[in-house]
Amino acid sequence: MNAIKYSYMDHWFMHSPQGLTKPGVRREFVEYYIRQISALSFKGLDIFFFDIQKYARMFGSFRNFVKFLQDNGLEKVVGFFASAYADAKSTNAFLPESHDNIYRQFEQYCAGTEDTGVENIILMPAPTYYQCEPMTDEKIRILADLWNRVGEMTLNKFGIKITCHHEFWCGLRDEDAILKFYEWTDPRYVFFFLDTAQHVIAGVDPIKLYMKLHDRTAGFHLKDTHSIAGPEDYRTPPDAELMVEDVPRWFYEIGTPEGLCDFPRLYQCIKEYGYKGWISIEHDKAEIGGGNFSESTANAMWYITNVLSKIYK
Amino acid sequence: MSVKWGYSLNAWDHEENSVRKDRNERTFKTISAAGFTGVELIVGSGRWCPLGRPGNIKYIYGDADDFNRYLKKTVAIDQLITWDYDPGAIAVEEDTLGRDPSDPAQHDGIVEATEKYVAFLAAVDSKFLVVRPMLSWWKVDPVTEEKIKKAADCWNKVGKMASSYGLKILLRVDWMCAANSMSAIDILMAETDPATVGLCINTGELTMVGIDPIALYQKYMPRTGLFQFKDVRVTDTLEEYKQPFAEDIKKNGGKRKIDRWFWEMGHNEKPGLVDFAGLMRAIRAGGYDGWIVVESDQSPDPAASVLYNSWYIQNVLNKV
Repeated sequence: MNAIKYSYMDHWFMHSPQGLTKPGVRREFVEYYIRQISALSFKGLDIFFFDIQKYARMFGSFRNFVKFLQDNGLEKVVGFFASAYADAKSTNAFLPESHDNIYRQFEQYCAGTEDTGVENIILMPAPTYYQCEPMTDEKIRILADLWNRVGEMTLNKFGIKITCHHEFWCGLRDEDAILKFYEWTDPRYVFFFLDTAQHVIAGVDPIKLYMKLHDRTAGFHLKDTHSIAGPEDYRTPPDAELMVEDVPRWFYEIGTPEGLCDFPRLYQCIKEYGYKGWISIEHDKAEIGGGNFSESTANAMWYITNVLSKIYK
Repeated sequence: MSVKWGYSLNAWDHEENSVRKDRNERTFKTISAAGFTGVELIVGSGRWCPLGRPGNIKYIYGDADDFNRYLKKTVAIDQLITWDYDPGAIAVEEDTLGRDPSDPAQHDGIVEATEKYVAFLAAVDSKFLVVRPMLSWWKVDPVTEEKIKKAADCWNKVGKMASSYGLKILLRVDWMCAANSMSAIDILMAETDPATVGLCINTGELTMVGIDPIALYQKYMPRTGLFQFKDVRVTDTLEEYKQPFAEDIKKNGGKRKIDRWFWEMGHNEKPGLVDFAGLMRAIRAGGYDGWIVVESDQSPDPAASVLYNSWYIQNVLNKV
């Protein structure tokens, strides 16, 4: 039995009579999508928090949605993505008086998964950088307190881990801030989720970071980038992933010749630490410039089968 | 006895997705990742058909050995299965606007043209070349037994040449082809040498004109050397293949404005007309030992079609 199982982080766009669309607008499209990733041997799916209710409506319940996944060859939803915000007062992560609301939000998200075996909340633990700056130790401690509290609840009540994922444009983006955050969070309740491209774009070596946080690591997003961020790119409001002027597309599937992430080296490292569990494949924004999710996903799995799995599987 | 699954590149027909080497590499890897171990190429002409001719492959990949190595080592594809050759297609490199297999005066040109493909295929250990046995129906009209027999004679000559390389010629009848009836196929099979000329059964094309691929296979089991799988949702009930320039119907939809004629296998909500499970049962029962090539021509998203077809093979057809 392999140590690694692969999950697919959903950002899928597909062709429809109305142009590009997310599959989740129509059950037939969802089937068309899920069968494709199933054909590539993915066994898990990662979704967004807002998809929990969407799929529950489409299939009658979230449990029915998971049954649909199983009927088409997948095992389950492994994780769902969520984020910290600083837009509205009631959910501002930096305001301790809002933490009760955020706690209840995450409680509702987890309850919505209906005990179907979801393992992770893939969390951007700080708002976007321009909403955080200046980022201070005090702010990091507020975030650490928040996610300690939420993580204890999600794990003890639902068996779901808070796993933190550090976008290159989020408030916890450089190595110093990231390490402080893990120092000040409880290792029982707050885990690390390594996104290869996001760290490389931010100028952080994801492998060195993994070596420092391997005992906190509960998951991976494997994706690549062809660009390192310019010195101010991460501060671009409102969305640095889409609006940096000279980089129209940040993310690419693993295995492209221009890629900057060293995946074979990462796999050597994962092997040495004996990681067992899910690894998620991601290539958000693959549609930019005429890209194609089916092709990107197939090429990513080709790279896993023919390169990475020969190192560790 | 075993079935091997391959994929045709006929859906990648736009210069954006079929010309550059790096684009084709992504296509090959998509096909490989989906579990297909062989590929079928389409004969083409001109500088925009890099995989359409051995001469063009030479520019990009090298000779047959080099291309074979590229497929195996660089993109993890085991086998170039065949080319699909249409003698009626323009070939600027051969100074022809297309040749007619029903015209004996053009047989030598067809033998000469196909020999380049046969030699290349022999060098990569392929076993056959797929050919369109006659021109489009409207070009041959009136379609007569004599014309079909002359076409059969052409393929006997090509088959004899191919046999010297250890290959067979497989006749692939399509919707628009002049031999698009059981009676025409019967004549072709009767008039060709079973030792050198066989049959390729294309499910979607044959279903389009009311020929049952299962019955055809059961009738010509020993002659069948290849299957091409694709589905259809409607058939050409108006016999629009008979009108001049009928090929335009594929894109303009004909009188009924059909947006897309050919589909992937296994759509639940809008099931197609081909009984793939039944055909697979017949194939298993017949002890077929060879390739099945899946096609998705007319797909707006060829990569998606590869994966969707793969799911159906893994979860339905391989369990028959």
